Amino acid sequence: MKKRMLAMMAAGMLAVMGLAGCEGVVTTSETANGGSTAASDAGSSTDTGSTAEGAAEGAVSSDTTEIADAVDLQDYVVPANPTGKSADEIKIGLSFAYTDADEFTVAQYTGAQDEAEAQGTNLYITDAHSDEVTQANDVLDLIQQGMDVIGIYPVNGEMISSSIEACNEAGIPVFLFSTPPATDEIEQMIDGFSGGNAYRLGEQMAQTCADALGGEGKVIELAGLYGMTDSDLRCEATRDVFASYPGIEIIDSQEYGWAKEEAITVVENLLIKYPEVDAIVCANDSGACGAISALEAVGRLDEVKVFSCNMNDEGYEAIKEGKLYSSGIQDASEEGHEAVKMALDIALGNEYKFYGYTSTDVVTQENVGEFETPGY
Amino acid sequence: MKGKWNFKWKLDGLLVILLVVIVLFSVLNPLFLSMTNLLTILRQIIITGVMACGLLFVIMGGNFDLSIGSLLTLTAIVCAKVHDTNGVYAAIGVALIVGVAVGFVNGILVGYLKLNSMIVTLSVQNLLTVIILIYSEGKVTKVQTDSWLPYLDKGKFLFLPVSLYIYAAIIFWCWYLLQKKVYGKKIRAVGGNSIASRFSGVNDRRVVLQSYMLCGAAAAIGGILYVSRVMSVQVEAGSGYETSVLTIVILAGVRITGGEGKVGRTVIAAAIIGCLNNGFIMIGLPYYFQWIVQWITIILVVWLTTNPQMRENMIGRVKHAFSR
Amino acid sequence: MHLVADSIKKFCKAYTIILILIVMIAVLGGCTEHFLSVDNFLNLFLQSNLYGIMALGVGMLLICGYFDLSVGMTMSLAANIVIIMTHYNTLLGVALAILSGVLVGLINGFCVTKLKLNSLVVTLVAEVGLHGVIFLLTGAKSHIGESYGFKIFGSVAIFGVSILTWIWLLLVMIVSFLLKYTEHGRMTYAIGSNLATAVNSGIQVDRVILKNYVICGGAAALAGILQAARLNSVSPGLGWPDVSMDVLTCVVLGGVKMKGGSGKVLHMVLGVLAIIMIQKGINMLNLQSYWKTLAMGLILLIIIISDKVVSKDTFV
Repeated sequence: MKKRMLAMMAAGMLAVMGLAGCEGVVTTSETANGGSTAASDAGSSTDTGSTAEGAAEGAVSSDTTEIADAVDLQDYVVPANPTGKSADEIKIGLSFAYTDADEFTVAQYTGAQDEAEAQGTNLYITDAHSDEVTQANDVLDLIQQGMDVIGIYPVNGEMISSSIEACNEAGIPVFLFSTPPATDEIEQMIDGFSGGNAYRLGEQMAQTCADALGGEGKVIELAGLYGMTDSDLRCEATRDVFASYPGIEIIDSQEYGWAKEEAITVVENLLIKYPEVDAIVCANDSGACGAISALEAVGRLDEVKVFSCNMNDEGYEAIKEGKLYSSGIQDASEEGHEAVKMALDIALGNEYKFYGYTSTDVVTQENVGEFETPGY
Repeated sequence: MKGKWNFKWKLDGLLVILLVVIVLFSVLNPLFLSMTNLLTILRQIIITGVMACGLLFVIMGGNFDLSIGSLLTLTAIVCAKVHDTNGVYAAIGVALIVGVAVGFVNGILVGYLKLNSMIVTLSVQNLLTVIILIYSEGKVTKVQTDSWLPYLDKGKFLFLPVSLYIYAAIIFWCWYLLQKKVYGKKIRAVGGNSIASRFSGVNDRRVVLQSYMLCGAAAAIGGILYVSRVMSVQVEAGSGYETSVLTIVILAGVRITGGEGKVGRTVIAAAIIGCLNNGFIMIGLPYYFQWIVQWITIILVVWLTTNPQMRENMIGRVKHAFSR
Repeated sequence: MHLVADSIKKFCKAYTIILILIVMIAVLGGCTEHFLSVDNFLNLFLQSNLYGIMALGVGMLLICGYFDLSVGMTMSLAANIVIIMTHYNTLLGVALAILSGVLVGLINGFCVTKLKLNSLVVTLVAEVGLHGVIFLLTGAKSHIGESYGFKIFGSVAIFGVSILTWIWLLLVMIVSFLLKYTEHGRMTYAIGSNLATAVNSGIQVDRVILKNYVICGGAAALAGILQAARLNSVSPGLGWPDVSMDVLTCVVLGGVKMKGGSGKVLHMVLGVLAIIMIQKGINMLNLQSYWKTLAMGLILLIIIISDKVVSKDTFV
């Protein structure tokens, strides 16, 4: 109980320090019994030469709330601290929010398994079936099984803090993947993030849309799921970009649960409500293809441009056919590979970037030939 | 005499709610009442409407079917896959066979082994989910080849969507089966009192089996229409359908313990839900208001249709008010 | 010798779930290194806390022959209320959360007893409606708890055992006592076995059913408050869509009959432990997640088929 109190106070202090925003604090791990968490100072990191890929400082407006404060960690490179272990001794635990429910996550965990096999390391995957309580239970299981490093794809970005604390308490390094940390406090508690840069993807999409519309037009937004960090970041980025274009108006925003059918129904209804629409921006290609389907059915595909920021096979075809204006690369398989790579880096004590973003590129009708179809 | 009034109230009551919903939404956004919008709503309720017709048989027999959502997904995936290898007709045929086959399994477990329908269909739902995951390998199943399949949803015949004609045919056939053929009497008897019905010479086991096969077929038709509409099937495609279809059947005032039900009312109930879905977007209120409205509406409807005393009083009071 | 064999047979018939649990423990204990440890079992109890407390309420209701499929949302509502209230007054929040559970129980109970509606319909619809209420209340946003005391409460451990487990143990003893030694318990069983007889014997059936609904709602609310304390945060989507059905599955799996009139607290507890152990086992054996779905489906089927085979109801 005493240990818990100490850990709580330590976490509380870290949170306060993080909020003050003056220093970034990263906890390193010691895998001794009941390991104590050692807090090491991370110096201000604005002097690192290379800008981290996907760092969002350039276009971040001063109104952005949570991510802006963490700009110092965006470029931060965690220094090497070799633990002396070898890859085949290491046990990596990845707690997924869900695995089989979505083709994107299937590609993620398949990629992770491929990477683990290639590196010869031990990978344990748990599936929380989209339930926050189950995920807390899963992380407990992983801790109990003696993982060397734990990666979490949170069901809910805000509800994951108690699990992260449990990992910190047990002395196991923990990082987030696929969904970025939702708050500054959580960012301070983890050892890294690996995955797509949801904010940048949304930003790129919105910028492409603004350019295509010439700075003026009525836009409908299709969001994945309100309250889901991934989805919220894309919405936030969209609004940030459109803020600099007074001629662009977001006339409606609906969520479609990442399901193409829902997107079709929602867009069908919205098209009747709004006789004048210039563009539809979507959180991923399922939604975009659904929007395209609804637009084609009423013959309005010529007047409405559709943009997306997360490409899948259908979207790839749609861009080739000229129906989808643009999309963004967020390769699920690559994310899986990168998650395992970051896990290994942490467990082996290699140097690694705190924010290990996977590649984000805009795919348009002009450059679609340079890319391959994602495979899901 | 009393019977006539009861019938009128039940049907009219639901129609009144539909009219109230339409009027309310139209007042708040006149675009709601436009021809395009009403036709759009009609097209959107077809899949759940068809499945509600199927579920109606099962519920009238006094049972549940929680596996229809997964069955929709499975038949849709089967349809999409067979479509690319063997053509449209084979795709539709195989999907129907799969639907009826799963219905058959459900029917045997519930009708002949007399296991509890809720738990059995829940197990079947789980097993179907596993089959779906293995069969689809977790990927989206897409329709790659061209055919007339999309025209079921997108095509129009005399200004109405083609799928609407399919729905109408199904409604008519279910009505015919329930009202004019012996099966209707049998399923009502079994739903009312399964053991007593056996004494009247009804093979209650077979009747229940048939009801599940009909439900499976309806889910398969839903799956085919789904593929026609979406042209790709995600692994979670059908999730949530079992609740929404059950909601429609409940809203239709079908007694959940079995024994009676009318197809026409499921259509009106499906229309109400469809109008709520569409209407809340039209008036710009978030979707979660709809769930609260549904809660209150359904309790009200079920209360008014199961409580004859209250209904008599209401009718009496309304009559009195108008006779002045 | 015969007597021992007979009594073992009787015990197994009443608690088929025990056989399944034994098989699971044996397999998992054999295949993994960490399973058979005190730590692991303490973890198991902590992980079973949510379903465990909710199962007590749902089980009691099922014994008297009624369903409550809205427990998932009742739990979520209570959790959301208490976390939002930690920004203002935590104790008041806890009180309001429990009150919300009682209120939902009252509404459901009222619809079932006074309006004479079917309990499946009422609670199924309430589940969806409450989901809407939660979104309305929370503005569709997640919240993090602001009360340090509340957070500590959720993570306190006495003699190494989490306080959540102690509370569950206490509730198990209370409900067990209720069912076995009080008149309310006897009436509950009576109503479940034969409603007509119960009414004819002068039992205040409506009152008993209403009480059970309130207990069920209150238990769900308590479970929600404890999880809120444990996680110190909440989201409006907590508990949607599967928790209600899962809890019912646990109770039925454990051996409480669907038609009512029989069931013991041990059934409810073992059912929950079995379901949680499935997830645990999948995690430890590193199996693909659909094995959990497969296991749930198969075990359910096995239990009800074996029930049918063993039971004495031959007039079917």
